[in-house]
Amino acid sequence: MKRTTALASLMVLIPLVAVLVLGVWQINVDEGKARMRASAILADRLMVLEQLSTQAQAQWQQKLLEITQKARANPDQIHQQAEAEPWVRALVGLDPKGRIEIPNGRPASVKEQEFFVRSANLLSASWVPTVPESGRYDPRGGWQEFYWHDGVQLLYWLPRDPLASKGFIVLEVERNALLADLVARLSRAWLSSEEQTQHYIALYDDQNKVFLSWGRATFAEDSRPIVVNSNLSAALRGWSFEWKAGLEAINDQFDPRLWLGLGIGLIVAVFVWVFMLLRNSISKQLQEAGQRVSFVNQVSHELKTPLTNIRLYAELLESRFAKEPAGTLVKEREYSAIILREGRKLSRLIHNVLTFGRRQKADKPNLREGIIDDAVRLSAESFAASFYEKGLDLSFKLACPGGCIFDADWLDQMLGNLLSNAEKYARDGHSVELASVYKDGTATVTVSDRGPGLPPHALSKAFLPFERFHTRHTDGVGGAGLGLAIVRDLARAHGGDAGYLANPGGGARFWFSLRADEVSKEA
Amino acid sequence: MNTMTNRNRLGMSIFVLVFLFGSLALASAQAVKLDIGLDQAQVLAGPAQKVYLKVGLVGQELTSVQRPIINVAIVLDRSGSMEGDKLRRAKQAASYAVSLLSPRDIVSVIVYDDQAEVLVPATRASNISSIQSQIEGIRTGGATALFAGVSLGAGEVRKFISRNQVNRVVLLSDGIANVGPDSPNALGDLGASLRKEGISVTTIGLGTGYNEDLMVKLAAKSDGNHSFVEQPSDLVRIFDAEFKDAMAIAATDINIIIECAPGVRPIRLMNRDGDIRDREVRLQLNQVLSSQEKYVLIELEIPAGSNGQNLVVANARAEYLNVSNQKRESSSQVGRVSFSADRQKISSSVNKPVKEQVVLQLATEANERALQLRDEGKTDEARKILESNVVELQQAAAELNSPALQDYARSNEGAAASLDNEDWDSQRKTMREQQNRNRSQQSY
Repeated sequence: MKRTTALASLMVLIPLVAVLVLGVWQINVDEGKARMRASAILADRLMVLEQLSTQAQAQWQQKLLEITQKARANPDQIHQQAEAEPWVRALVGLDPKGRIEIPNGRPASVKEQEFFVRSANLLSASWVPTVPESGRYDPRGGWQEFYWHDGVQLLYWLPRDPLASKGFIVLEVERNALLADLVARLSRAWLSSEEQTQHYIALYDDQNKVFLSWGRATFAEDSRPIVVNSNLSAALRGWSFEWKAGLEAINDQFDPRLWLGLGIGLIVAVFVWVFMLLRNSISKQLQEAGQRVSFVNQVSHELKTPLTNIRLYAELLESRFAKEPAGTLVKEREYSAIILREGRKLSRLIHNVLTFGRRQKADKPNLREGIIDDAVRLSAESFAASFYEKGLDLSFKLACPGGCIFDADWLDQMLGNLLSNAEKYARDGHSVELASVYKDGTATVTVSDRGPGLPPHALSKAFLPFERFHTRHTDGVGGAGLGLAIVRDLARAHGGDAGYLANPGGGARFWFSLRADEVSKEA
Repeated sequence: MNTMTNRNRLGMSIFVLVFLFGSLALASAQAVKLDIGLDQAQVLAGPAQKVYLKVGLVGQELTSVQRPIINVAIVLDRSGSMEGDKLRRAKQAASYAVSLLSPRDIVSVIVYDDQAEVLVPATRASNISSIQSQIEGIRTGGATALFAGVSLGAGEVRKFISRNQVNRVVLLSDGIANVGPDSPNALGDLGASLRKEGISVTTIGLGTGYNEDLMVKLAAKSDGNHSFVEQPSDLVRIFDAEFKDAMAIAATDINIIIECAPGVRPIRLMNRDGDIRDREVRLQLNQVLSSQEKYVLIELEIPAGSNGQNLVVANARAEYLNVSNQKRESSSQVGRVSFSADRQKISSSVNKPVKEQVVLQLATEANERALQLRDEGKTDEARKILESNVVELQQAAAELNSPALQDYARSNEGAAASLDNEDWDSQRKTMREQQNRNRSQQSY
């Protein structure tokens, strides 16, 4: 029982520790992977914002291009146009050398003069857009920044022809109006309400100041949020997006801690379940076995007295036959021999059962002086007839000293069980060898046969009670599965042990040892 | 006459003919009546001199016709500093304002702190209680992303924008913009751009923590109103005035073109933003209210004239959208002056209403200079300007019998006295508010 509990605990603990160790290792590996994956997710989401910004710029450019083309078509209306277009502050023509053109010779208006003052650094230096490498200007025009007072000002220019041989049209753009348009375009719930506290998205302007933001997450110094960036271009040169979020906050991502927790939970649950199942089944088995033993025990007790009587009368009969002349009563003699032999076998079985039933009570051997090899021979003798019948040749190789202290009954029982097994299972081997050795106060008795031996899977269980193995050699052979268990129990109770070795030449070699002090020679 | 070249004379004749014809053709009932006049009908004969020309626009009284649709975005500051009474009153005022709307009107609500958010997207004001309950749910947050708030407000107004409507963003703020563009110029530029789209931004500064330069500039450049509300409890009154102002609009999308006669040189626009090219002055207004005058004063140089000579100084034309019949109309009128050698006659020819406005605008300019000097730490110089302002205003008030000038004299007196006071913040806001009101003839 104790052993089972310990085993079950180990079954739970070992995988648990393994999972923990693996888990911690996996966290490290997975965190790296998860961070990469999270970055990719954020980058994808950020790309939508970036694309919207790019789209916005393309539409600004398109709109400004239309305004510029209208101005080309009606040069006289150029002034009124600046007055009416929300995105335009001023509109002027530049000749190819960058000189400001005055349409129809009308003087510049006050607003235009203000524009010239603002852009003086650029325009009075005869600025023209840089000629591209191809020598041809982009037909969609381009952007140019300049600085005035407290901020960046923006120009949009369009070449009148691809080589700008007729000069340019230049718009001073109401940059803040474009930015307001950008706000309206980007303003959308990019974050779900749960994400609000876990994410922070910012659009930084060219001064690296927050222009717009989403989400309210803040990140401690030592935290390592996932951060992705993207830079804008054209009219928003120097601007950038940044998206920050804690690893655990990113949707769809693998949280190693969560998975480890779940895994451990699952494994623990499975082991607890298996343990309970096992415990129930073991205790049930033990209970059943206990009942079986106690039943057999009682029956055996009941059988013991009649059997003793049967054997007594069979022996009496035998002694009567012995007085008759030889060659007479052949059949009768044979029958009584069988009765005696089978009676002895039955006695041994009953003895085994009773011994097993008692074994929990920590029996002690009944130690008496005797000669081990004689006891071995005596036990073997009772098998001689049946061995002979089955064609088994029994040989001896006994080397124990005379005069030891041991329990002859136990030895008889142990050896009987081993010989009985040999008789049952090794009849094909034709020979059984009985050996004894003595060393340092311990006598070891070995029964070697030439039978099939124990199958490998049976080795560990051979000495457990009620274990029987099904092979072609055992099928159809009776037994309760107690023999070897009793051998080991008795041997251990006698200060020795019992075990099995494969016979080098094939077959089984069972042995048992017992503590048997030598009687002093002087005595 | 001798001083005028023949070419000028010919030009003048054509000019007068064209505009007389134009005036006759448009003499029917119009939504906007033009009122053009110089500060005096007669000027001293002699060399070229400066005069002030006023072009006034008065919206005709609205009859039984339906008022224009109002398309308004209410933009509320919910930054941390609005916590408590301010936010409670602001919500109350916004809810009240929404209740003034009719189901034809369009309303949206935007809130902003670090981030701006459309709380109620532009929608017909048919389910007022649902809008009000959303306003009720506003809670305070962090910083002040004013630019984003205005941008979103404008974005919502733009969804249903039409020149036939009153398109307006009403912005309430109690703090300094600190996220996004935050300079008065940046917001002024945005305002100017929105004005071109026909959107006005009315700015309401609450308490003494906001940036009045920014708020005034945003309102002025977008032809919106501005109010300084020191006490949160006044918010309902201001929202009421603002929404009634919006409902009283007679004409929108107004283009004013003042063509000066040959020889006449426009020097500057005094109280409004506009452009001058050669002899032409142009400016745009988003709206003219019913029974209320909006005007622009222009400083002109007229050529030399001889005794008895009459001069057509300028022709003013206003093109606008009449909101009651949703048609584009225009009005025009000619301004004249005659030259005289009789000083007596000249002084009795003073156009008192125009003169009063000129004095008020000049005093406003002086008041602005004083404020700037005070900003630069030149408190004494600022005080001197304000004090002389007081004297001139009082004098003119007496001559012209003008309570308005008398009032402004008292304001300047108060300002002069509180240049060093602890409540300068509040005083400065009052000054800015008054300057803007003087310039724009705000209805409340």
